[in-house]
Amino acid sequence: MAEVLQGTLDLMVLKTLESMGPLHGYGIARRIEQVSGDLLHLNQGTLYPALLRLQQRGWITGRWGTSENNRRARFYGITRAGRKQLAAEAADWERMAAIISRLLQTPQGA
Amino acid sequence: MPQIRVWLSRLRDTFRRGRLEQDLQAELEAHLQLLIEENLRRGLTLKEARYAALRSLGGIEQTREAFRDQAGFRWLRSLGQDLRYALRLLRRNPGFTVVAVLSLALGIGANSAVFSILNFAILRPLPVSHPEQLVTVTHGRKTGSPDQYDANISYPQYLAIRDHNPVFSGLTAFWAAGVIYGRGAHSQSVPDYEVSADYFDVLGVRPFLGRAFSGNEGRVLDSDPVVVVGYNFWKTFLGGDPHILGKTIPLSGHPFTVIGVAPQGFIGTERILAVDLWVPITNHALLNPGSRTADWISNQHNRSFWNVGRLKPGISPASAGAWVENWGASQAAQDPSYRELRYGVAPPGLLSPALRSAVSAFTLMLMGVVSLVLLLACANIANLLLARGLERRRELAIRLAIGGSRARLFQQLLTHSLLLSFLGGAAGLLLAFWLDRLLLSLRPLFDFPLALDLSLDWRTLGFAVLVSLLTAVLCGLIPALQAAHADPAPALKSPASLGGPRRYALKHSLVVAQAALSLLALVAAMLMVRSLWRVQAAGPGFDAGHVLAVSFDLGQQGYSETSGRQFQAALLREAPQVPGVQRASLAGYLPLSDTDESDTEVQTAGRPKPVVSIITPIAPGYFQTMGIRLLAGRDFDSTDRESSTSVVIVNRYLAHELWPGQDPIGKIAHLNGTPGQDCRVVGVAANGKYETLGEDATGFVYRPATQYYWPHINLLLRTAGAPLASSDAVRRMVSTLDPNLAISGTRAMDDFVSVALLPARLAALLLGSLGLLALALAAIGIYGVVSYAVNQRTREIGIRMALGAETVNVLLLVVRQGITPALLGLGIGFAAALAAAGALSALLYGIQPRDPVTLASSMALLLLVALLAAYVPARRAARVDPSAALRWE
Repeated sequence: MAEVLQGTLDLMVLKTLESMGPLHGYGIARRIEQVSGDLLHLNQGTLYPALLRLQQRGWITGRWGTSENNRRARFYGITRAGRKQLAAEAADWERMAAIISRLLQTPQGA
Repeated sequence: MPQIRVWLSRLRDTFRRGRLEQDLQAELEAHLQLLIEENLRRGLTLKEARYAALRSLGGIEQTREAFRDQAGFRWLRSLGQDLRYALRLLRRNPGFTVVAVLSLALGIGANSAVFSILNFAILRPLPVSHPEQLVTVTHGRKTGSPDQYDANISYPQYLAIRDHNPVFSGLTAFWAAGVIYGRGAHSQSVPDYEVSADYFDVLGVRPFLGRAFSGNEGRVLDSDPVVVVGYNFWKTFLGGDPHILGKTIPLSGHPFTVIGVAPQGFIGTERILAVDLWVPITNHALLNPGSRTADWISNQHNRSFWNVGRLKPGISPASAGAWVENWGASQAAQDPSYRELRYGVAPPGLLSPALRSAVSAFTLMLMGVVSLVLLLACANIANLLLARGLERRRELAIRLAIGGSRARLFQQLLTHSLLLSFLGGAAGLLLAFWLDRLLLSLRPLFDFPLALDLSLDWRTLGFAVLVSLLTAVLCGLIPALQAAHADPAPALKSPASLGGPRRYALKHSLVVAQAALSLLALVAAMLMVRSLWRVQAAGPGFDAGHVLAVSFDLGQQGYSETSGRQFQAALLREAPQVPGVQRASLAGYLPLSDTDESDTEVQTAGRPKPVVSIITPIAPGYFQTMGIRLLAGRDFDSTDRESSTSVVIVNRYLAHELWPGQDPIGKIAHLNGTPGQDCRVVGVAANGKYETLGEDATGFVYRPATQYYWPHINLLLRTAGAPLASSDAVRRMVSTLDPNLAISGTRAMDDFVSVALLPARLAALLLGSLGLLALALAAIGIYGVVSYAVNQRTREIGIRMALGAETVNVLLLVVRQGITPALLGLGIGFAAALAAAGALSALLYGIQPRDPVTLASSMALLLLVALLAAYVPARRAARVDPSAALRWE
C-alpha cells in the first residue's frame, strides 16, 4: 500500500468534496481509500489538521449535521475559492506528473 | 492577500482553541464510531472492531497535537503560558523581583530622562512647515570651531543677505525682549519677539486666527502698531475672545492692534524661549522708550538679531553655508570687523551652535554614563538569573530528559527576563517622569520664561521600550542559553556538586565586565567633580561677596551723552555717602552677568595681528570695589578726563599677547572702532572669568567712563553687610538725584557667580550620584558571585578545614577568587578609560581627561569596594563548621 505523498492530501480532499458534495471526515477518508482501490493507506487522523488548514484558507467550510447513523457529525463543503484552488492545483499536478513521467521515460544515454 | 486572511483566521483560532478542540473531540468520536460500525459489519468482534478502528485513525494524541499546531500560533499560545509561568516565578521570589525591577528602573529611567532632554532640545522637529529646510546664519572667530559660533547678526547684515542671495527662498530676523502688558498694578512682563515682516511667511506658520504681517507692517519705520498674540496668551490674558481681531491691547503703555493669533503650541523657533507676542521690528521705539527704531536697525554693530532662513528647493545646507562663508569673506574688503570672522549656517532651534553643541555634548556624556549604569544593572540581573538557572538545573534537566524542547525552554527563560525588563521599564518611565518634573522645578533661575517641554512623547516611549527590549536580551540571553543548552545527564546524576571551575567562568566574566564598566563611570564622575572643584578653586577673578550692582539705561531715560556723564559723576559722588557702602564705582560690562558685551580689536605697533578683547568703561575705584588686583601701573583717577590723553588698562593676558616680555606701561594700544582709538596703557589688571567660569583666558580692556561713554551703566557698591540689604538706601539716593529715573535691576554679584556655577554643580551632582550608583551595583555583583561560590563550595571548604586549613587560608582562597576577575576588569576599564577620555575633554576645566590622580583614586576606590564585597562572604566561609559541612547534603 502506498503512503499519502507529502502535500497531496489537500488536493485529494478538495477533489473529493468537489465530486461528492458535503461529507464528514469519515466519509472523505472512506472515499479516498475507495477511489484508490484500497491501494492508498491513509492515516485518517491526519485528515483533521488538514481540514482545519483548508478552512483557515477559506477553501472549504464546515457545518454540524447528522450522519447516516443519526449521529452528530461535521460536514465539509467546498467553497468557490476552493474550486478555483482545486482547478489550479490540479493543472499544476498534471503538468508536474507529465514532466516526471517524460523524465522517467527518457531512454538511458540519450 | 490570502496570506493575511489565513493569518487572521489563525489568530482567531488561537483564541477559540478551546471550542475547536471540543469540536475535534466530537468529530474524532463520531469518526471512530463509524469505523467501528463498519468493522462490525465486516464481521469482527466488538473488541477487534474497536482495535482496528483506532489503528486506522492513527495516534489520536498526535492528531490532537498536529491539530493544535494548525489551530493558531503556537508561539503566541506558549507566550501566554510562559508569561503566566514567569509571573509565578516572580511572585515566588519577591526579594529577587524587587531588586531586579528597581535596578532596571533606575537604569532605564535615567536613560529615558536623559533621552527626553535630548529629544526636546535636539531631536523633536520645530513646529513649522518643513523644518528640515530651515537654517540659521552663524558667525564666529576664524580660529574657533563652528560648534562655538553665535547665530546673531546685525539688521543691515540681515538685509544684505536677504536681498542678494541665491540660496534662501526667505530669511527672517528677530530679537527677543520683554514688554509690559497692561497698565498700573495689573501690568506684567511678557516675552515677545520683534520680528521682520516676513517672519510667519518664512516659517510657513499660518495664524490660528486673523493674519500675519502685511503691507507697511515691519517694512515702514514706526508703522501703525500691530501684534500677533500667542495661543496661550490669547487664552490666558484675553480669555480666548473670538472677536479679538481688530481690538487693541496695551503694550508698554501703547495700544497695539491684534491682527492674529498664532497656532496652538507655536512659541517661535527657539525651543527654550516661550514667546507670547510677535511685534514688527518697525515698532521697536514704542516698546523701548528712548530708543529710535532707525538707529536700532541701521546700526552695523548691533548684532542682536537671531535669524532663520528657508533653503530654496534643491539647495543643501552645505552649499548654503559655502555661499554665506563667501559672502562674509567678501564683506571683509569693506569692513575690517569681518576679517577675524567666518560665516556659515547651522540648524536653528537652540539660540546658537554654541549652546546646541554644549547641550548635546553634555546630554550625550550623561547618556554614556547612564548607559554604563544600565549595563551594570543588566550584568547584576544576568548574574542573578544565572544563579537561578543553576539552582533550577535539575528541574530543567528533567524537562529536557522527558522530551521538552530546548527552544521551548529557551523561550520560557527569555520570557522571564523580558517580563522583568518590561516591569523595570514601566517603573523606569515613572521615574523618568519624576526626574523630568524635578528638572522642570529648577526652571525659575532665569529672567526670561523658559519653555522646557519634557513631556514623554512617542519618541521617549519608543526609546524606553527599545531600551527595555535590549535590556531583556542583554541580561536574559546568556543565562537562557546556558540553561537551555546544558547537558541534562550530569545534572541528574550528581545534584550535589554543582561546582567546578567551568561553572564559574561565565559569572566571573560578568564580574570582569562590571568592574570595567563601573571604573569607566567612576572615572567620568570623578573627573567632572574634580573639574568643578578646580572651577570653584580658581574663582571668577573678582571678589563677588558684598558687591551690589544697580543697573540703569540712561539712553532709555532720555539722557544725552553730556547729561549722562554729569549724572554718572553725581552717582559716584553720592554713593559712598549711603550708609553701609564702603566703596563705589561704575562699569558697563559686568563679568559673568547677562549684560551685553562689546568686543574690540586691540593692535599695537609691530604686531600686525589684532587681539579680540572685551571692552568696558569703568570709573575710578572699580578694581578695589570688585576686588580685582591691579598688577602694575595705576588705576584711573580724576585726571583722566574727556579731554585728557586717552588711557587704557589691559588685563595680564592681553598685555602678554601684545608685549611679551616687555613692560606694557606707557605703550600705545590701538582700539579699532572706539572713540579715542590710540590709548596709552596706564595699568595692568589680573585676569578673570568674563563670560563663563570654564572659559580660556581672553583679552579685556578697561577705559575710563569719562572717555568712553555707555548709556547703559551699572553702579557697583562694596557693602559692609549683605549687599541686597543696602539696595533700598541706594534706590532712595538715586531718586534724590533723579526722581524719574527707573532702575532696571539691583543684584548681588554673588548671584551671577552662582548661576554661572549652576551647570557644573548640576553636572557634578548628577554624575556623582551616578558614579556612586555604579559603584554600588558593582559591589552587589561581586558580593553575589562570591557568596554564591561560597555556598557551592561549603563542602570543599569544610574538607580543607578538617584537613587543617587555617581561617586565613580560607579567607585568602575565597577573596582571591572574587578579586581576580575584578582586577582583570579594572585593567580593561583602565585601558578603556584611557581610550575614551578624549570625549570628555570639552566638558572639563583645568583637568586632563587622563588625569593620573583621578584614574588612580578611582581604581583604588573600586578595588577597596571589591575587597569588601568579597570579604563579607569570605568571612562567612571561614566560619564554616567542618563537621556540619561534611554532613551537608
